[in-house]
Amino acid sequence: MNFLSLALVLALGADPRLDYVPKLGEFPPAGVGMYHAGELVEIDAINRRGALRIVGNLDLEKYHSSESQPFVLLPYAMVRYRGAPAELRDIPIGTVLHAYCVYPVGYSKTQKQPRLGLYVEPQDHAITLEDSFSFYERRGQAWKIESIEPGKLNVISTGPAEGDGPLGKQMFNFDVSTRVWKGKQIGTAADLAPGQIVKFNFTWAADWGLGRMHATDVWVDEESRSTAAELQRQVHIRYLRYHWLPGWIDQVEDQGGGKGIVTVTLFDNGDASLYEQVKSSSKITIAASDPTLRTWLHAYDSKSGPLLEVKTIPQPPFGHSGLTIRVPITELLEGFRPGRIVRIRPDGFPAVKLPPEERIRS
Amino acid sequence: MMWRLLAVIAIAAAGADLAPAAVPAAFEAVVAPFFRTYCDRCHDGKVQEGEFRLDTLSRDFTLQAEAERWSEIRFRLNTGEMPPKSEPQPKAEELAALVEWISTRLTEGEAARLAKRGPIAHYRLSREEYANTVQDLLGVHYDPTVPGSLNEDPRWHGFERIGSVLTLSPSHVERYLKAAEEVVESAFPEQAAAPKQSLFDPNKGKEKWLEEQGLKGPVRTLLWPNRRVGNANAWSGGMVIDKPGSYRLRIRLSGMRPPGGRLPHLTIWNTQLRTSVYDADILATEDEPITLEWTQPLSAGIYAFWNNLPGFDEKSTAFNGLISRRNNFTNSREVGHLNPTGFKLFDDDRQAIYPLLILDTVEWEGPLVSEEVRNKRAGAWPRSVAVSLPLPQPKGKGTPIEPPPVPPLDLKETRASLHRFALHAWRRPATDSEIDRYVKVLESEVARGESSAVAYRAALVGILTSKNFFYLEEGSADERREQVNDWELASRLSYLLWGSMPDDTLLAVAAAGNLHDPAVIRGQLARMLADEKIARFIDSFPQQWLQLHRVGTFAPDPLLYPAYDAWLERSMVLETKAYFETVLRENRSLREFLISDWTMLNARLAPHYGLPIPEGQGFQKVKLRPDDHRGGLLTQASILSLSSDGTRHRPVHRGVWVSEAIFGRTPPPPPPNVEPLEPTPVNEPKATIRQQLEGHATHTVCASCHRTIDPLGFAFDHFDAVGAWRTEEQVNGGKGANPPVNAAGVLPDGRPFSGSDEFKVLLAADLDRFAEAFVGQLATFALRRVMTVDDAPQIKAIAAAAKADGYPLRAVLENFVTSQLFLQR
Repeated sequence: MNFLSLALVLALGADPRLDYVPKLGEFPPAGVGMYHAGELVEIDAINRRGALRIVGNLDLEKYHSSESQPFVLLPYAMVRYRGAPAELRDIPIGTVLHAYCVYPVGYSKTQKQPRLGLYVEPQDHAITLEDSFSFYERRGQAWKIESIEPGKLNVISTGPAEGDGPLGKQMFNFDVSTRVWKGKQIGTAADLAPGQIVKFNFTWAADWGLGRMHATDVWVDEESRSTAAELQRQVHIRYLRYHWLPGWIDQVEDQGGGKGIVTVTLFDNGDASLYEQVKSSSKITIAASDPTLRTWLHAYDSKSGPLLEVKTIPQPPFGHSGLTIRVPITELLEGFRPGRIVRIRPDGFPAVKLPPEERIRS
Repeated sequence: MMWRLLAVIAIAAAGADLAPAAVPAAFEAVVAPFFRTYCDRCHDGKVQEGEFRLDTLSRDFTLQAEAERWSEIRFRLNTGEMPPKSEPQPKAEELAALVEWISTRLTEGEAARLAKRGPIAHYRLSREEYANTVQDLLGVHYDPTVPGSLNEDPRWHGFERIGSVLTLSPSHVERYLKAAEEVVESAFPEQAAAPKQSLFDPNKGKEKWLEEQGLKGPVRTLLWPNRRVGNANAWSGGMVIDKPGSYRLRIRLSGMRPPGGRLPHLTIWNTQLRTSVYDADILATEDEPITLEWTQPLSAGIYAFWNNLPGFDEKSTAFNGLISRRNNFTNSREVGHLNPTGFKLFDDDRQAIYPLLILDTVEWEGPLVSEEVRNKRAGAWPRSVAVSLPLPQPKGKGTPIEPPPVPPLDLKETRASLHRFALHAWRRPATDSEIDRYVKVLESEVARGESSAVAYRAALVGILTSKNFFYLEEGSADERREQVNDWELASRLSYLLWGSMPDDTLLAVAAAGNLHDPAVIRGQLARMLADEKIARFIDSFPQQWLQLHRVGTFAPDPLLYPAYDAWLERSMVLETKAYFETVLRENRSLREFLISDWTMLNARLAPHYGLPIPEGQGFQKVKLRPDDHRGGLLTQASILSLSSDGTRHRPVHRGVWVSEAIFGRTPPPPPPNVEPLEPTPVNEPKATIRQQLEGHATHTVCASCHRTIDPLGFAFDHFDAVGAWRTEEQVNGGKGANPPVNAAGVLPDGRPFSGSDEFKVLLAADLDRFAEAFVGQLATFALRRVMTVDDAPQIKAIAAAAKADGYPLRAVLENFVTSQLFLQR
C-alpha cells in the first residue's frame, strides 16, 4: 500500500481496494482485491473453489489457530499456472498460490453475514489466482541465486522491488524432491548455481509459520520456463475447446416470437489464439452457464446463430478479453439475460457431452 | 329473377317446380325424345340388349325397385357407357337434361319414402335430445358422448333427427337401459352426498421452498403455449370430477399476450373424452389476475387446464429444459432460479414472449342441485319412501344403533308419483293400465326383499326405458288423424326450440287443450324464444342445417396452414352460430344469411380474416367494409373450410354445399371411378384447381353436371381451404409463379359475376327462393322428416307470408309454427 492509498484509507476510514463489491455485468476496476497467499489445501475444481493455508507472517498464534482461507473464483477470474492460463484443476494441491479477492456479489456490511472461521477474511471471491511462477513473472520479477547451502537457497528478487508477497533477500528450502527444470529436461540440484536467474514454485515447509517455503520446482533457464508455459498453454487450449469460452451477456435485443440478438462479452483468461478463432467464425453457439462456468448439456442445449458483429476494445478492463460479439438467436433461452454467464463455441470447437461430474444436472 | 335463370342448376326439391303435374310433361319433353333417339333401338319391346327394356319402366319413383332401375340408367349415362360409342352420341345439353330429370325424380321418390308415415309415426330422440330431456326432467347431466353411452346418430344431409333414419337396434335398447339406470341413480342416489368442494392451489406447501430460495412468491402455475396441467392420472394436478353434474368453477389467472401475438387461450379439457368443456381467450396482466366464475355441467373425468395454442417443438432440448424444471414459477421478476436451458418466456422488460397463462387457483364445487331440480325430483318421488340409505353408523363400543323401521309402501301415493313422472317423461298423461306395469315391477322388487327405494327406482328406470320416452309418437292406432294433438304439438314445439321435453307451462297449455289456437301457440313461441334453453336451438339448428359437423373433418395440413389450430376451428363454428343467434335475437331478415355488412368475431377469428381484434370478451358484432369480402354465411370460414379437404379448397364441393344448404337441393351424385385431380407435373406451368376442373368439364359426361354446380363454387375461389382471403392460389409442383385467383363466373342466364361479393348480391336478389329453401330446412328439422313434393305448396306459403316484412327470422318461425304444415301429422 503506497503512501497515497494509506492517506486515503486514513482520511475515509475505508480502503476502496478492499471494499470493492463485484456486480454482475461489471468488470472490476484495476488494482482491487485483498491479497491472500498460501498453500492450496482444498480444491473443488468443478465448482472453481478451494481453500488456502495462508502463509505465515511470523504470528505463530495465527498460524496455529487460524482456519484455511476459502476462495471462490469469480466467473472472469484470471487463473494462471506456470506462466500460462489455467484452470484450478491444473494446479496440484500443496502449491503456494497468490490471490486477490473481493467480497461476494451483493455483499453488504450492514447485512447479517454467515459466521467466518478464525482469521478468515470475508473477501473470498478471487479475481486472480496464480502460482508463484506466474505471479512474479506478471510483475516482471524473478529470483537470482546468491548462494547455495545444503537444503537452502539464498536468493534475491529481481525486477521491481515493491509489491505483495516475499521480495528482496529470501531463503527457500530445497531437497532431492525439488524438481529442477533445465532446457526441455529435468535436471538435478547440481544444475543450480549462484548467479542464475530462476523461477520457483513453492509448497509448505517446516517453520511455515515463520514465513518459510519449500521449493517444489525451480526453472533455471528461459528454455525451461517457456517449455513449461507452452505445455500449460496447450493444456488450457484443449480444456477450453471442449468446455467453450466463458463470457457474459451484456444485452438481449428481443425481436418478438422468441427471437433476439444476444450480445456477449468474452472473459479473458484464454489463449489469444482462441479469440482470433471467434473473430473469424461464421457461426456462434451459445450455451447457458452459471457463475461456476459449468454448463448443463452444452453440446445439445445451446443455441446458434451467425456472427453478426464483432467489437474489439484495445485496452479492456481486467477480466474482459477485449472481444464483444452480437449473435442473432431464433429461440432465446431463459439463461440469455443481461449479466448471465454463457459459454460460446466458435467454428471448429468440439461439441461433445462432458463427463457427468462436470455438468449441472437439473 | 335470378333463380329462374338458374333453373337448370337448381330447380328441385323445394318449390313449385316440384309439383307432380310437372312430371309427365317433363317426361314427354325430355326423356321420351332422348330414349327414342338414342336408346330404343336396343332397349324397346322388340330388342332388349342386356335384358333391359325402357318402354315398360314405371315412373313411380316412390317404389324402391323402380328407383333402382332408373338409378342404373343414370349410372350408365353418367359413366358414358351408354349409348355405346358405336352409336349416335347425345349432345351435352340433352344428356344434362335427362340426368337432371332422373336425379330430381329419384330425390323426390326418396323423400316420399323417408317421409312415409303410418297411423302412428315414431321419431326416436337423437342422443343430444335424450341428454337434454333427462336434464330437464330430473336435472341430471348425462353425457351421451361418453364411450359406452348412447350410439352416435346417423345423419341425413346434416340432420340428426330424421325419424326414418334414426332406427332402433337391440344395442340401443341395451344402452337405454344402462342410461336410465345411471340417470335414476344420479337423481336419486342410494347414498346421499353433499356437494364436494375442491381447490387447485400451486402455492400450497411451497412456503418452505420459497423461504429457502429467498423468493417472495406466491408460486403460480405457468402455462406456456400447449402446456397443460393435469392428465388422465388423478394425481397429475387436474380437476377430478367423480360425479357428473352441475359444477361451479372459479378460476383466478392471468393471461399475457406478447406484442403483436395471440391471446393465451384457456381450454378446460376432459382428458378421458378428449373434448373441451370450456374455452376462453384470457387477457389480464401478470400482477392483476382476473377471476372467472361460472356454473356448467361436467361429466365424470379428470380435466386439464390447457393453454391451447400451438406449442414448442417437444423434441427440442429447450422444451426439455422447460418441463424438467424443478423450480417453481413465481413471477417474471424472479427468474434467477429458473432453468436457464429452457425457452425464455419473458423478455428482460417482463413482457411475455409467447402467449402465457398463469394460474393461481382453481376452485370447483359440485354436483350442485338447484331448488328447481330438487322440486322436480321431489315431484317424481313418493314422500313415504326414503330416497337414500341412512348414513353409516359410527364405529365404536356399545350396542349398534338399529336403523329406523321402514314404513310400509304407500301404494296409492306411489302410483300418483309414477303418474306425475310419466306425464313429464312421456310428455303426455299415462293411462292407468300403462302405470300398472310399473307398479307390478315395483311390487315384484319388494316381494324379492328389496327396499321400497330400490323398487321405486326400478319402476322409474322402467318408465325411462319405455318407447314412450325415447320415441316421440304422433298419431293413434285407433284413428286416422290428420293433425297432431295438443300433447304432440307441445313436444313438436319444445323439441324444435329447446331440443327437449315441454316444460310445466307448455304441458299445462297442452292439457288445457287450446295449443292449436294460433294466438296461444304464438304466445308460447315468444315465451320459449326468451327462455335460456333457446341456446339449444341456436346451437343445433345451424349445426344441422349448414352441416357444420363437417368443419375440421379433414384436418388442415399443418405445413400449409401452420396457424390453424383447434380454437380457430371452434371459433369458425362459433362465428356461424353467433351469427345465427344475432339474426334470431335481433329478428333480422333471412337476407342477412346471404349478404350483410357485419359478422360476429372473436380475438382468434378476427386476425384470420385480416381484421382488428374486437374489444371485449368472446364474440362481438363487427361492422364490415366491402373490402373485407365477408358478411353473410357463405364467406364465413366455417362454410369455406367444411367444403375443403384440408389441403386445398374444393369448388365442386362448395357448389354442392351451396346447392344443398342454400337452395335445399341435392345435385346428382358424381359417377363412380372419377379420376382424381392430379398434382401439377413439375415441368408444367402451375395450374389452379379451377383450371384443372375446367379440363374435366370438357368431357361431355362431366360437363353435363359440372357446368351447373361449379359456378356456385368458383365464386369463392378467393378463399383458401381454411377460409382465408387470397389473391393467388398456392400450387405445389409445376413451374413458374403461383397463378392468380379467378373467381369470376357466368350464370346460365349469362349474367356475370367477378367473385363472391357480386355472387352474393345475385343470390340476395332472389330472396324468395332462398326463403322457401330455408323454410324447407326448418321444417325438416322440426318435423323430423324429409320434405316431399306434397309439402312444397305449404312451404312456399309459409315463406311468402313473411315476404311483405322482408323475411324477418322470427316472423318466419312464427308463420311456420302456426302453419298447417306444423300442425298436421
